[in-house]
Order: sequence, then structure tokens, then C-alpha cells
Amino acid sequence: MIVPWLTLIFVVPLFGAAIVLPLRGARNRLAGLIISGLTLAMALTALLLSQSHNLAEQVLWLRRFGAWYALQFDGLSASLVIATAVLSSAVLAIGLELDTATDATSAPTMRPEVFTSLVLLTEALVIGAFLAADLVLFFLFFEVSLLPVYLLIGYWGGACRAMAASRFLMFSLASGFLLFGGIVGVVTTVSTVGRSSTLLSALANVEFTPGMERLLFVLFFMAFALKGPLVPLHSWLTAVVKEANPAVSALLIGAVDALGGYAMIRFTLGLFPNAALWAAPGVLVIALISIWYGGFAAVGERHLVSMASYTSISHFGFIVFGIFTLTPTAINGAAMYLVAHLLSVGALVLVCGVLQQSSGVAHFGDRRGLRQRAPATAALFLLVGLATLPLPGFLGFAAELQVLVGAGERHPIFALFAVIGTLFATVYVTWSYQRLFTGTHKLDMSPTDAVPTVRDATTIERSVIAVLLLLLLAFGCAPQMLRNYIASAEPGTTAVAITNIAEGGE
Amino acid sequence: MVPVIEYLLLAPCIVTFGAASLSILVEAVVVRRLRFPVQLVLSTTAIITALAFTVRNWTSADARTIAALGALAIDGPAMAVWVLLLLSALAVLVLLVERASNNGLSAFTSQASAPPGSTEENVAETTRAEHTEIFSLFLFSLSGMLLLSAASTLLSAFVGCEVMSLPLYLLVGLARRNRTLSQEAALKYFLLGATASAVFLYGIALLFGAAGSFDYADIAATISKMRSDNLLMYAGLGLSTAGLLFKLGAFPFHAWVPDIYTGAPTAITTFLATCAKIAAVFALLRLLFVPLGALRWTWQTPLALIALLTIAFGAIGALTPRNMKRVLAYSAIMNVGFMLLPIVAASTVQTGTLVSDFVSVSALLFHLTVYALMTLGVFALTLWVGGASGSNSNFDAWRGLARRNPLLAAMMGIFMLSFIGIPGTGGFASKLLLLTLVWRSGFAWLALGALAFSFVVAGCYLRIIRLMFLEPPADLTCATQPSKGVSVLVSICAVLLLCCGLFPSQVADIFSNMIGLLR
Repeated sequence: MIVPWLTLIFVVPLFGAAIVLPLRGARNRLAGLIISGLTLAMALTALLLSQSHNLAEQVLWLRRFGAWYALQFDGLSASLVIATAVLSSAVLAIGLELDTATDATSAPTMRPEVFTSLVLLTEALVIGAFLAADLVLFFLFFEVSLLPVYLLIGYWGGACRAMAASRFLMFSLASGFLLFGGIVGVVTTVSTVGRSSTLLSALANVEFTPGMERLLFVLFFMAFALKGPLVPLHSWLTAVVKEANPAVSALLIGAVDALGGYAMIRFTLGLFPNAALWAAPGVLVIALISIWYGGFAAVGERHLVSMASYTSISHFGFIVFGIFTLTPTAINGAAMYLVAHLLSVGALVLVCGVLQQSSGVAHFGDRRGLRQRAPATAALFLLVGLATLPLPGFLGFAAELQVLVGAGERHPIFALFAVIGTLFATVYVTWSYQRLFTGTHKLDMSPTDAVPTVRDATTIERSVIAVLLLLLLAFGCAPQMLRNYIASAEPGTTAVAITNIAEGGE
Repeated sequence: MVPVIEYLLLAPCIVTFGAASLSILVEAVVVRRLRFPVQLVLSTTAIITALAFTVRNWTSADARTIAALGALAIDGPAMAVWVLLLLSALAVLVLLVERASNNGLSAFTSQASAPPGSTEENVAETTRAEHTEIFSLFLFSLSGMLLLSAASTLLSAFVGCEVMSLPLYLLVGLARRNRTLSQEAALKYFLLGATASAVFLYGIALLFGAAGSFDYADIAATISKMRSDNLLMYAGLGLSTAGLLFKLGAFPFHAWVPDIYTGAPTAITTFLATCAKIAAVFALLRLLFVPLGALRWTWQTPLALIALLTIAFGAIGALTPRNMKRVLAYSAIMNVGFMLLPIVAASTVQTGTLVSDFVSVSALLFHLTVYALMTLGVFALTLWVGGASGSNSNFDAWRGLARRNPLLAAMMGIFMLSFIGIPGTGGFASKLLLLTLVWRSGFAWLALGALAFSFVVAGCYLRIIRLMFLEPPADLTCATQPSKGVSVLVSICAVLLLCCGLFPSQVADIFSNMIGLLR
């Protein structure tokens, strides 16, 4: 019997979400962690098996549109699936403690068991999207994954969380509808050509007319730029994370938004390489603006988690930059950067959440000198901050270097600007550490009576973040493992696209 | 020549029509106490029998012909629409007899002739009088719909249209609660509907003048022989289309929809929103494809514009009201715009033969199936939630519903997501099908415009989702369980909707042999 390993990876958390619902309290959390761990184990098993077997699954699903239930497990998918499983486990482990509720009006209104279920659901759907090898199937996961995130934001968070959740859903739906338009165009084209199939491998060979290709490229690009988000379209993210529970924000910024970067490589570039070539200069400029703007805004931002979200915007700009330099090296580097981004920004948001919860600091300047009271949190914050920088030795650095090397081959001036843009990270990481942790501990700007006592990170929190850090460090010290693995992504569309570009561009 | 009537093929029409007449007799001879159960049994039996006959004809291959001396085309599409109509009617019947949501009272007034609030009305209330005539009106209207959707001459189309509409004018005015609103709606509907009928009739007269025949086949033949522009023909085309667009509630004849939908009893609103629209849109498709198909170059672009404007007005209108039935009315307008898309998408024409019939008809049938499921489900829920709060389906009844009644809220959520077009629901599959069709026949702007307005209207559905899931419950929030009939109906609709979304090909396959229009 053939075991559908790839289906199992996302089916486990999908059913797990239902299974954990009746369990209460600590057992619920444990069950959630076990299921998330099981998902990770499934993904790792699939990784091992994929070395010797072809795990791809393919069943015709919507005959009329030529849509397939098709899953693939190449280097890019696999790395992101595993990273998502890791991040989800981390969120499940410490998520509920990070609740930002300060008074009765913002106290969570939903049973904590639902939190576990919704996180597992999000995990399942995001993983499904990473695995999908068919455009329509990807869209199914892409859209449906919004719903659990919507509820997560709406149920756990600050006083204005309902507004934030609606805002999130509205922007995400805008992204969804743009993609929908693109998909309608793609399905129309392939059905006119007569090869009715929305499999990625089939779509990569479809010849679009130049006008159609550019139109579809713009639709796809806008959709994923909103998801990412890139700079003119980013306002929703920073607003949402201010209200949401930091753990939910970590999941949102880390895993859910990574879909944007992933889809940029796989779809926007993979399906429309010629239009990508046409649009590259403009996109590079937007990406550079994103890098710079994200960096600038992160320096100026006073809200902790919001600062982390600007980091993410800057990172996404860098990923898009890497992709649209259109050199194989840089695209590969961008894919690595995506993995690093998922783990490091996830960790950063979680650390900010821990800090916020344990000391009541939501903004810079609320307190200082916290290192005396919470040395472990301080150390973790600094390390995670350095990992997002990224400091050499962490995975992000290897990826960044590769992007810059690749970019330098073709666009040396742009690469220079990108380098300068990334330097902002040094400023905001070190400066925020200085403002929060150094100096003597005293209350600066919160004269309220009910000041919570500062506690240090708990053992669970420490170990969760330490695991994320260790992963970043391990792959940072041996980046060639990940690089070769991602580069081996064939016969995925990435390889095809890069060849196309290489042929068309020279 | 002895006229031949194909009794077996026409059986569904005959059964409904006969049952409607019989139910008038029931009013006359059966004692008041027994009228309600007798009428209910009669209607149910009639619809199920008609359904059985339709299915029987569906499965027999030789049963495709233009019957009743050329008056009705009993072809694949007609039978498929009949099945849709009869099934929806059966569901509407469940809502028609629903009492549990209304403190055990019928949703219809006890004495329609008495002015609201008068002593006569109070007397009728206390004696628990009831209008069981609603069943015969309902059956008459239904038989009109069956006629209209299969009409193969202009005259049978007009007769069908009138038999459908006249009982509806009455039914709209019979609400027990908010009777003045309901009567106002009925008057509006009657006046506008009668005008539209006159316009339709005028269009028919002009077409007759141009072609010299009422018969669809003859008209098509005349057009194919037409040497130069025939102004009479174009005017006839415009006016008859306008008449049917009014019945559908499409731009620019959509303004009546919100008032009438809000004023009518919810069961009748459901009937209007599902069956009446299904019949009218199909009559429009037949009229434009069969006799007027050769004029495609004339009607296609204006109809495309009408479709987009209908979608736009529906989407924008849905954003502001705070009354569920009004929102649903606008969303129905929007969906009418989507129903017009497959008609617009007719892509190849050779003297009266539209090659893309096949695709257009099956896409329309699929969309109508999905639309009927969504509408039935949503209105059934509205009947329950709005009815229990007694506040005429104000939004407040939905506030925080997820906490009071998670299952109810979850099902409403599924319907809302389907209206938005989230993948996995029927709404997505039908949108993808329709928009692909439209784009492929060269109307990319229409496809993208329709999507843009789908996004606009998503804001409205999103507000309902937020109200149900994220806001705390209020005093008016509905807290009880719906009656068995309604809850079964809603669950069936929700499950089928998900099936349509996840396995649309299998659902569409049901209609795959039923798409050739007879000419």
C-alpha cells in the first residue's frame, strides 16, 4: 500500500484540531503539542523518504478547470513546511500565556481550547499551501487559512481586536481576489490553448501572450505583495499586530505571510518569467523602498511587536529583491532567507511577547534596565535580535550574503543600496536593547498604580526560543546543507523559471 | 389534423396546475379545521409527483421534444430547471408552514381583507383564522414558473410570466407582522410588475410584427433571412428583454427588489429570490439564445454592461443596510448580475445556433444550483433568527450568535463565505466557472469588474461574520434551537454547498446531458 505521506503532513493537524477541542486545560495544550510534534515528525519522515522515493501525489480534482489535487515536496516546500511546523509548536507551547489582556474589556472571550484548535488549523492550511503543486489547490489553502487567523486575532488580543481582525481579513481578501482574478485568467488561457491543467509543471510550459502575461503578472504580484506585505500595501500588518496576541502575530508574520514570499518565487516568477523580466526594474525599486522604509520605521516605532513587524516588512523587501534580481544564486538565497525569516522573525515576535507579558512593557520607554530583573529575557532578546540582523553565524547571514552576491552579478548599484538598507537592522536591534534592558531599572512613563511585577522568562519560554535560535545557528554554521537542498528543487517550477530567465535575459 | 398533446412530458405542469385548481376546491368544501393539513398534503404530493414525472422524463432519452403544439420546449435544460424549481419549491414549502419561530403562529395574516390593527383583524386573530389560500396561490405561481422556463412561443412565455406573477403580488402582501410594510410592498410590486408586463407584452407585439409569428423557431428563421436592419425587431428585442430583466431584478429595473424583499413574509421572499429568479433567468436565456440568437452582436455588449452594473449596484447597495433581509435583497441583485454572465458569454453564433449553448447552459444551471442552496439556507436562518427576535430581521438578532448557538452561526458562516466566494464552497466554484466563461468569450473587463465588486460586497458579509463571531451577545440575540424542518433544511443546504465547492465537477456532471436547447 502506498502511504500518502504528504497528505498526512497536513491532515494530522487538521484532524488534530478537532480532536483537541473536547480536552481541557493542561491536557489540551499537551495534546496540541503532541499533534504539532507529530506533524513535524511526519514532515521529517517525508524528508527522509523523499531522498529515495518520489512522494508527489496527483489526483484529478476539478475536471472542468483541469485542477488537480497535487502535492509536491521539493527543497523549498520541505524547508518551509518544517519551519512552519516548528514555529507552530513554539506558538502552541507558549501562546496562551502571552495574552495581552489588561482589563475586563479585552479579556479573551473564547475558551482556551479553541486557541489550540485554531493554531493547528492554521498550521495545517499553511502547510497545505506550501505543499500544493496546483494553482487552484494552492488558492484553496491560501484563502481558507485566513479564517482561523481571523478568529485567532479576533478572540485573543487587545481591546480593538475585532477591528484589527476585520482589517486583516479585508486586506487578505483583497489579496485573495487579486489572485482569483489571476487564476481566472490562467484557467481561461490554458483552456483556450486546449491543455486544460492548472498543475504547476504544466503551467510552466504554457505560452501566454505578452499582454496577458503582464496582466496576470501584475495581478499575482499585487496579491502576494499585499500578503507579504511590500511597502505601499503594508499598513494593515503593523496595525493588526498591535492588537493581536503576540503569539498569533508570530504565526501571522512568520508562517502565514511567508506564503507571500513563497508564492512570489513559485508562482509570480515561476509562471510568468518573461513578464518578471519586464517588470524587474520597477519591482527592484519597490523592494528597495520596502527594505529602507521597513528599516527606518522599525527604528522609529515605539511599539515592540509593531517594530518586529516592520522588520518583517524590511525582510520581505529583501526577499523580493533577491527574487527579482533574477539570478539563480540570488533566487536561491531569497528562498533560504525566507526560511530564516520565518524562524527569526517568529522568534523575535515571541520574545517581544514574552517581554510584554512578563513586564507589562508594550512600548519602548515604558521601562528600562530590565536586564537586572529579567536577565534571561534580555539575553534571548539580544540573541534573537542578532539573528534577525542577521549576524554572521546565523542562517539569515548566509542567505543575505548569497542574495547580495547574486544581485551583485547583475545589479551592483541596487545591491549596494540593499546593503545599506539592511544596516538599519543593526540600529534598531541594538538601540531597542539599550532602551529596554540597560541602565538602572525604574519606571519611566507608566505612572499607573497597577504596575505588574517583572518576572523573567519561564523555563518553557526560554527553551522554546532557544530551540528556534539553535536551529538558526545550526543552519547558519552549515548553510550549504540547506542551500544545496533548496537548489535541488527540481523538477519544480523554480528551476524551469530560472532557466527561462537565463535564456531570455542574456 | 388532430392535435397531439404529449401528456406524459407535460405531466409536471399538469400535476401542479391541477393541484392548484384542486386546492381552490379544498378551500370551498373542506372544513376550516382540516384545511391546513389537507392543503399541506396536497401541495407536497403535487410537487413530489411533478418531480417524479420530471425525473422519469429526464432518464428516458426519447423525451426531448417541442410539446403542446409548439408551445413548450421540453428539452434537457427545461427538465433540469424544473427539477431545480420543484426542489426549491419543496424547500420553500418547509418555510411556508414554519410556525415554531413565530410563537406557533403562521407568518401570514389571519385576515388579509381587514385593515391592520382593526377590530376585524383582532377577531380573526382570536379565532385563530388562517389563510390557507396561500397554498393554492403558491401552486399557481409555481406552475407559471414551470411554463415560463419551458416556453417556446412568445405567448406561452407571457402567459407563464403572468401566472407566475399575479399570485406573487398577493402573497407579498400577506405578512402577519409589519402588515402596512407588507401591503406597501405588494402595491409597489404590483404596480411595477404590471408595467413591466405591459412592456414585455409590447415587446412581444413588436417581435410578432417583425416576424409574423409567436413561435421561437419562426422568429429565428425570419432573423436569419433578414436582409437589412429591422428596427421593429430591435425594438421588440429591447422591450421583451426589459420585461424579463424586471422580473429578474436586474439593473436598471432593480430598485423594487429591496423594498419588496423586506416587506414580504420571509417564506415568500425566499420564493421570489429562488424560484422566480430561476424561471425568469431561464426564460431570458431561451429568448435570447433561441429566437434572437442571431442578433447576438446586438444584445451581447449591452447585456454585458447591464450585468456589470447589476453587480455593481447590488454590491454597493449591500454595504449600508442594517437589516438582514435588505442585505440579502441586494446580494440577490448582485447574484442576478452573475446569472447574466453565462448569457453574455455566448461565444459563437451561426444563424441562430449558439455553439456555446452547451457551456453557457450548464454553467448557468450550476450557478443556479449553488445560488438556490445559498439563498434557501440563508433565508431559512433569517426566518428563524429574525422571526424569534420579532424585530423584522434586524442585525441585532445576529450579534454574538456564535456564543449562543455555535452550530447556527457556523452554518450562517458557511453561507456567507460562499457568498464571498471562498474556495471550498459552492460560491467559489460557480464564480470560477462563470468568470472563466466570460473571460474566454472576450469580456475580460467584465470578469475583472465582477471580481472587483465581489470584493466590495465581501465587506458586507464580513460585517455579518464579525457580528456573529466576534461581538458579545446582546439581549435580542436569538438563543433557541430552530424547529426540525428548518434545521434539517439549513443543514442540507450547507452540506450540499460544501459538496458543490469541493466536488463541483461531479455536481455539474448531473447536468451534462441536459444542455441542448431545442429550437
